[in-house]
Amino acid sequence: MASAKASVATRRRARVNLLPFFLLLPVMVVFLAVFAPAVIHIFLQSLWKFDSFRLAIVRDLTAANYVKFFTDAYYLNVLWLTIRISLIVTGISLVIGYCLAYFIFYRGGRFRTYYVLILLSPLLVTVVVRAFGWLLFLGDNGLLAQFLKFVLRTDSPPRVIFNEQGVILGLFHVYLPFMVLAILGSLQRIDISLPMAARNLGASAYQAFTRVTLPLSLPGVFTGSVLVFVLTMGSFAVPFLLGGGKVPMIAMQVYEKELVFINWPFAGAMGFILLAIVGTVIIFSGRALERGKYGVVFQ
Amino acid sequence: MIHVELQSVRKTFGSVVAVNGVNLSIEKGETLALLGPSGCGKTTTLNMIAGFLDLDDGNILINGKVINNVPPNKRNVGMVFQNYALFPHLRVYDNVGFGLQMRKVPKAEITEKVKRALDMVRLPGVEERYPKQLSGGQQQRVALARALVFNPDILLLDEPLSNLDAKLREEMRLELMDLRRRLGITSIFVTHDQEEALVLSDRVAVMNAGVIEQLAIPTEIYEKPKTGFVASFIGEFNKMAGEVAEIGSGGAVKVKIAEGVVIKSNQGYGGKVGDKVQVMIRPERMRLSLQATASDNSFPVKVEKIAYLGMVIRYYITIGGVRCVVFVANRGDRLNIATGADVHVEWDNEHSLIAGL
Ligand SMILES: Nc1ncnc2c1ncn2[C@@H]1O[C@H](COP(=O)(O)OP(=O)(O)OP(=O)(O)O)[C@@H](O)[C@H]1O
Ligand SMILES: [Mg+2]
Repeated sequence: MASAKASVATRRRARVNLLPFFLLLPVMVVFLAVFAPAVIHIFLQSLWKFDSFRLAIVRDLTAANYVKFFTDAYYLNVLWLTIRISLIVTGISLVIGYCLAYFIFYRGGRFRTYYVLILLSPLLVTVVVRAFGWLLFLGDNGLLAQFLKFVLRTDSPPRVIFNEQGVILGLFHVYLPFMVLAILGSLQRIDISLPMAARNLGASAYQAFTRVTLPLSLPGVFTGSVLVFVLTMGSFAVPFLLGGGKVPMIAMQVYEKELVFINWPFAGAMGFILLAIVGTVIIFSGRALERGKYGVVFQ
Repeated sequence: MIHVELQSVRKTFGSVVAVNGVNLSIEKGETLALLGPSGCGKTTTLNMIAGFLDLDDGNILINGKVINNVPPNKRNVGMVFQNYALFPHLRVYDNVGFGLQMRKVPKAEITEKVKRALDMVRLPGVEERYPKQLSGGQQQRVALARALVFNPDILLLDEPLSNLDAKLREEMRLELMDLRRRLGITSIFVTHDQEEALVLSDRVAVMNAGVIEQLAIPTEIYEKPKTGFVASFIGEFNKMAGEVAEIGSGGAVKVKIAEGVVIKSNQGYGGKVGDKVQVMIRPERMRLSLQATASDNSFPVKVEKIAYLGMVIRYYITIGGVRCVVFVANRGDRLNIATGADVHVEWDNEHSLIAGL
């Protein structure tokens, strides 16, 4: 009797679990049929040699591309630069994005939907157009430069574009909405009586936030941070347009190697290194959070 | 000594008046039930006492001091929320100990007090579990332990038993009664279950549309409802409209319901002969018998319908053109009355309550 009940229960659970699988099936078929062979091909290619005199791929199995990346100071610098910019952009978006999400959710009142719409409106414009917008605003003859020239009475005001700050600013602007949306989503799932209960038990408004609201919103913080980090790590257009050629992030290098130098094996190797780093960061940060003090909120 | 006092407290949300001039005073150690239908302002009242909502008007006093502007964390009021509001990311230990941690109690003392609080609600040894690993009844106990562990001056409970199934609710009700007696803490609890209100409280405040309609001890609320709303909200009543036919001495009143149907009461009436009034009689105060007896009120009737509910049997009859119901305790003899039987309904003078129309 008991075992019959148990088997009914497991059968029911199995049925529930299969539904998402079936819904994902079309996507998975496309992925496996189109995307996977391409990825495998690129991976194999990254293990081949490139003859830079004849500009041709030689099909000899070798780890040389990977070795070169990790021994050449230039590429190590590219990697470090990319990681550094991604961390900074993620950090800034996290702090500002959290404040924005918190404000929209708890202070937005009946204007909440409008704030979210305003937040999302930049997503209607492509990244390239937005980068050009920044160029117009921050460029050498842009509004800001004119203003600084006037205020500081100098012909060469400090530049905030065509350098790392410019790229960080541009990336922050492009990816902030993702962070806010993720955090907003997790704030919405917090029962409003929980911070109230904290206050009732003697917590100040600040303590209620740090002890209750913040830990419970960690899933949103994690999702938002992963999204922004991954998108920044692979970003191409913004560093290309706003970096003035001085901010060689890794995706730009892949582009250059692939299309300018036609060195597909090395480009492929860089692509895989990027993929591996991003994957490792996601998996390990996820694990760390699940094992951490508030791991239970991730289950 | 008056512990908690509400003076003409008013709260509106936009155009909705949630609480409209509530006056209440609660003695130290007393348990007050706020009883009323959904949306009548019970939670709003409780939230204002806890300090979650600002008042639009009026004052809330604790120990004679106005506390309108004291933030919730400084009120030392324990609260059990309707959905318990246990912190899902914290173990039971940290949930129950939260109030003590906020008060900077030393760790060893917290451990000791949390253990005692969990023992008190008969849930020892669950410190390491997370709320979602507990059943509804267990979560309710943890919420209670959490609200009591830091020795609050006042305990507020918002429908503490409404999320439990009937059997568990009964059990927790008895435990709450017992706990309340042992602790002697001033408490206010919200409910829309009249039985709960009558059983658990020293006094009941019946609320309707943001005002308190009657504030009295449970027996008085049940026996002498002051308004038509209270009468219809608590228990059931047979209501018959009629005209005052005679006002005698010692509270004796006769009300004519229909031709030949005059109901006698000894509950008094302040008006005059000829007034239109309503006579209200509790169904369980009426009796059915096969022969007419010398009761104060006795009328021949026909049994129209019988509803067998197990513990009681409800007999539907008509008196003077008004559909009435009689509750008869199921003593096992079944009275031998079938549908369509001719019987007599009777009751004593004192059970006929008279209210103005
Ligand atoms: N935050 C709010 N904003 C707007 N209206 C509210 C708010 N809180 C309560 N109300 C309104 O105030 C009235 C009283 O609400 P309250 O929650 O006090 O009712 P209640 O007696 O606790 O009801 P229930 O038994 O359903 O819990 C209701 O009409 C409700 O719609
Ligand atoms: Mg309520």
